Amino acid sequence: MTTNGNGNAAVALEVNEIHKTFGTHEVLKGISLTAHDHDVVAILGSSGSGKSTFLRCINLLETPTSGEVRVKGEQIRMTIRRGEPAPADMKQVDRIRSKLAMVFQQFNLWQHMTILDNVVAGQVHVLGRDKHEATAKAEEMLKKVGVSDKVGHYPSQLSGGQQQRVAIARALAMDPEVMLFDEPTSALDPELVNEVLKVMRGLAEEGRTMLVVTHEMGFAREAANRLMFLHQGLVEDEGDPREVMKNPNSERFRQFLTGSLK
Amino acid sequence: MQILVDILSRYGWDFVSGTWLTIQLVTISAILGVLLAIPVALGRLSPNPFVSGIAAAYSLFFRGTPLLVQIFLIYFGLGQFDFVRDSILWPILREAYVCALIAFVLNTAAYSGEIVRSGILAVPRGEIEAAHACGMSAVTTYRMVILPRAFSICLPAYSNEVIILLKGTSLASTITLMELMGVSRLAASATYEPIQVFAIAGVIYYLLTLVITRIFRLLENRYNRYILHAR
Repeated sequence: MTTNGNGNAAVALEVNEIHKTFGTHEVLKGISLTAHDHDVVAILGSSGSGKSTFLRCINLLETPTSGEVRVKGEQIRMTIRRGEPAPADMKQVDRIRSKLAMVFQQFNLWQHMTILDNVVAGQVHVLGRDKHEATAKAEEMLKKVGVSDKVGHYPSQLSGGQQQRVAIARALAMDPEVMLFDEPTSALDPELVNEVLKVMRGLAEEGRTMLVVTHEMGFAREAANRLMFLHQGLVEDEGDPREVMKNPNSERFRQFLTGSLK
Repeated sequence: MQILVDILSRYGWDFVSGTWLTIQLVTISAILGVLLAIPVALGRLSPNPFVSGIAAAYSLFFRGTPLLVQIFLIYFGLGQFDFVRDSILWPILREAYVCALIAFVLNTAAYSGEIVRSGILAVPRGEIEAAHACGMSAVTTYRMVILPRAFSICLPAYSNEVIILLKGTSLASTITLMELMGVSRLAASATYEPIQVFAIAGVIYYLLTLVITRIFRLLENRYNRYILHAR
C-alpha cells in the first residue's frame, strides 16, 4: 500500500513500527514510513491522532516506546535505562538530529539572540563551521526566506510569519537531509500563513526532503507527493495526495476531508 | 550641623576606608557567589537524588540559619579543628577578612542558587527543544540557550539579592573588620554622637544601594534588550 513518488531516489528516512505510550495511553500504535530523497510527505490527522508525536519521535524529542528510525541508513541505537527505552548514545542522537532540522508550530526562536545569531548558532556550535562561513550561509538563507532586512533584530520584534521564516532559515542553514515541519502555520494569523507556505512550496520545488504535519489541505494537495492520514495512532490512509484526496480509501479520511472543506 | 562637620573632619577618612572595604566585600562576594550559584542551581535540578540532596541541604542550611551565626561559625569555629589549624591554608583562614568573605559567598550563593534555579525553570521549553532538535549537546544547550536566557530572566531578582548582601556585610564588623559599620561604631563610641554617625553610615549605604540599582539597570539594558524591545 506504500506508494512512493520517487521510487528511484535513495532512501533518506526509514521509520519502522513506531509505538509510543504516555502512561497507559497508547498514542502511536505502530507507524512506519519510508521517505526517499526529494519526497514531500504531508501528514494529516485530526488533533490527538498522534501526528505531532510521530514527528517528534523521529528526532527523539519524544522517546519511542518501541520501533526504529534510520536516517540515511544509519539506525538510531536504543537501549533500556531504568526500565525505560532510551537512546544508547546521545552523541549519535545529536549528530543525527543535525541532519533532521525541525520547524516548530511556535517557531521556538532563541529570544535572546538576534535573527542572524539564531541562524548562525547551530552551524557554529553543532557543525563546527567557522563564524565567517556560518554568517555568510545565514545571510544567504535569510535572504532566501525574505527576511534579510531583519538580521540585527530580535525575534520579539518580528511578526509570527517572519519568525517562522527565520526558523525555516535556521533549519536550512544546517544543510539537513530531511526537514521536519510540525504544524508550521497553525500558530499564525490567517494573512501570514501564505508567506510561510510560499517559502515551503519553494523548498518542495527545489527537491528538499520534507515531512510536514499540517492542516493546510491546499499545501498537501499541491506541494506534497505523498500523503499520510493518521487516526488514533494508526495510518488510516496513504497515497498520492491528489488521488487519495479525490478517492479516499478509508471512511474516516473521507469524513475528515468533508469536515476540512467546510 | 557643627557636630556633623567635626565628625567628618575627624573620621572622614575612616568612612572612606570603611566604605571601600564594604565595596570590596560586596563585589567579591557577589561575583564569587553568583559563580557558585550556578552549580548550586544545577545540583538542585539534578535528576540524581544524591546530587540534588547535597545541593538542597546546602541551600537549606545557609538560608535557614542567620548570617551572623554563619560568620561566627566560620570565624570562631574553623580554628577548633586541628586539621584546619595544621593546614597550609590556616594563615589565610584565620584572617577575619577571609572568614567574612567565605560566609558571605556561601550565604549569597545559597539564595542566588534559588534565583538561578527559578530562572532556568523559566526558560521556555520550546527554545530548549529547538536547541536539541538542531543537534546541540546538553552542555552546548546550557551554554548557548539555557544559562544566557536564565541569566537575563534572573537579573531583576538578583539585584535584590546584591542589595541584601550589601546590608549583610555590616555584620562583618562583629568579627573585627573595619568596614563601614565597623568604623561607624568606632566613631560613635569615641564621639558619643551615635545619631549623627549612624546617619552618615545610613546615607552611605543608601548611596551604595543607588549605585547597585544603577549597575543592574545598565546590565538589564544590555542583556535584556530583547525583552525591552518587545514592549
